[in-house]
Amino acid sequence: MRKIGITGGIGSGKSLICHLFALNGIPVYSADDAAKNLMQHHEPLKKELIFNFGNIYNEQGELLRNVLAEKVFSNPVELQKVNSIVHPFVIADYNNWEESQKSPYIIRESAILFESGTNKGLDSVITVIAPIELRILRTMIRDHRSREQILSIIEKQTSDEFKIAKSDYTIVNDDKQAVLPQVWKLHSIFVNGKQ
Amino acid sequence: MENNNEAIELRREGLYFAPGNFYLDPVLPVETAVVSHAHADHFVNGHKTVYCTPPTSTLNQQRMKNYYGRKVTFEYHQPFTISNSTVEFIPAGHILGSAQVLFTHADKRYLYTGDFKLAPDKSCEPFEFVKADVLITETTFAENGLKHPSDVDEIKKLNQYTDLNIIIGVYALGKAQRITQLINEFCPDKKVMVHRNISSFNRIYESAGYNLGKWSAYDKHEFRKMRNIIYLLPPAHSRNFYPQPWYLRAFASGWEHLQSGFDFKLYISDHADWFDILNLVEKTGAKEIYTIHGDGEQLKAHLSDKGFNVTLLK
Repeated sequence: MRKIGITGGIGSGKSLICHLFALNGIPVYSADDAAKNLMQHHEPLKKELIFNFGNIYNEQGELLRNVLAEKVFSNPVELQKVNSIVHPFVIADYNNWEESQKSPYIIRESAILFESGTNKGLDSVITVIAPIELRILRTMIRDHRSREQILSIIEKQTSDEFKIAKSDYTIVNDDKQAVLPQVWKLHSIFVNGKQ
Repeated sequence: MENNNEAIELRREGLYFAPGNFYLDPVLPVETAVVSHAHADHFVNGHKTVYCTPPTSTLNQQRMKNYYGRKVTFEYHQPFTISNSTVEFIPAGHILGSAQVLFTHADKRYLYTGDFKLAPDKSCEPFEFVKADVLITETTFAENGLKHPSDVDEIKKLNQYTDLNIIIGVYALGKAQRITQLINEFCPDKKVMVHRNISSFNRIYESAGYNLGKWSAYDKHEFRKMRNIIYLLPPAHSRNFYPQPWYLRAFASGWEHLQSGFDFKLYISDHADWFDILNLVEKTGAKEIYTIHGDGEQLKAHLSDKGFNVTLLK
C-alpha cells in the first residue's frame, strides 16, 4: 500500500484536495484534525498539556483554544514545545489508523509534512499551491482572521518553492484550473503503481 | 428476430459480452462490470471489478456510502484490455463522465451507447461519433418521429414568471446541473437554489471544470420571502410541495406522462430522440443493431427493410 502525503500553506486548499481524493474512495488522514481530536479527548495528552501550559481546559474538559493560542502564538519556543508534545501522539494515532487500511494507497495530510519529518515515511508527496492573495482571502473567510494575522502565519511557514522542490507532484488550486482532473491523473498514477 | 451474435447475450445480470467475459451496466453484482455512467439504473454496488471513466467513479463514490470492489478508471480514448477484448470509452453526452463503450473482438467493433444525447449540453463532455460494425443502442425515446424541443426554448419559458417562484423536480445527477447552467445562461434574472442532494453533485461538476453559474443551497425563509427564485430538487422531494399561489411547480423531463399534475410543461430530456438515433445509426455505419433500454420495435420496423439487421434485446 503506497503512502502519499499532501501538504501546502495555509489557505492553499489541502482539505479540498483531500476531500476529492476521498471521493475517489481513498482513505485520508488529516494530522491537523487528528491533533485537534487528540487534544480534546486523549487523557494522557491532556495531562501533559496541562502540566506544561496550565489549565487550558474548561470545567467540561473542553480545550480552550484561545487560551492556548495566546500562550504560544507569538512565542516560537512555546509553539515548538506544544508541537513536540502533540506530535508523538499523532504519530501513534496515524500508525494505528494506517494498519487498518486496505486501499491501493492512503493519503496523509499535514501542513508541516517536511518540517516534522513525516515525509520520510511516505512514498510520494503532493504540494497544493495557490496564489497568495487567494490564500489570504480563503483564510479570512474561513477563520475570520485579519489579513495581518494570516500574513504572519504565512511568513512562519516554509515557502511554496521549498515545498515544491521537495515534492513529487504539485496540484494548482487557483480557482482557475479545474482540480478534479488533476486529482484523477494522480489517482491513476498511484493506483497503477507508476511514478 | 433472434440474436444470432453469440458474443452478445442479455442475461439476468444484464448485457454480457462473452469474448471479454464482462457485463455492460449490469443490474446485479458481477465479477467484471463496465459501467457507462453513474445513474442508479446503470450502476449497482457490489461488482468485484468496475471499469469506468474517472468522473463516473467519483460520482458513484458520492452516491454510495460504501462503494465496494476494485475500481479501474480510464480516460476517454485511452484503450485498455479486458480478457481478449480491447475496450475504449467515448463521450456519450448524457451526464458528466458518461461514456459509450467501444470494444473489439475478432476485428469486429462493437459500440454500446449507454444513455446518450446529441443535444448540446455545457455541463458535460459532448457526444462523439465513432465507426462500428455492431451497434447496441438505447431506445428510451425511439418513437417514430419524436423530436425533443430545444432545451433553450424550454428553459426560456421560466422567464415569463417574474413575480412567482418556481419549484422544478429534477434528477439530482445530470439534469440538475444542466438546468442550473441553462438558467444561468438564459434566465439571468432568476436565482437558483438547490436541494442538498444536488449541491454535492454540483460541487463535483465544478471541481471537474464545468461552470454551472450561480447557485446556492435552499433557504426556506428566503424562498418564502423573495420572488423570482427557482428551486431545483429531486422528484421525490418535489412532491412534498403542495400548490400555493406564490409558486409554480414543474418537472423537467422528456416524458409526456411525467408532466401531468404540474403547473406547466418543461420538456428537457437527457436522452436521444428518434432523429438522434437515426443519425447515430448512419454515422456509426453499423448494419448489425441491437436495442436495449426502452422499446426498439419502431426502430426495428423502420430499419429492417433498409438492409439493417435489428435485434431487440429483452
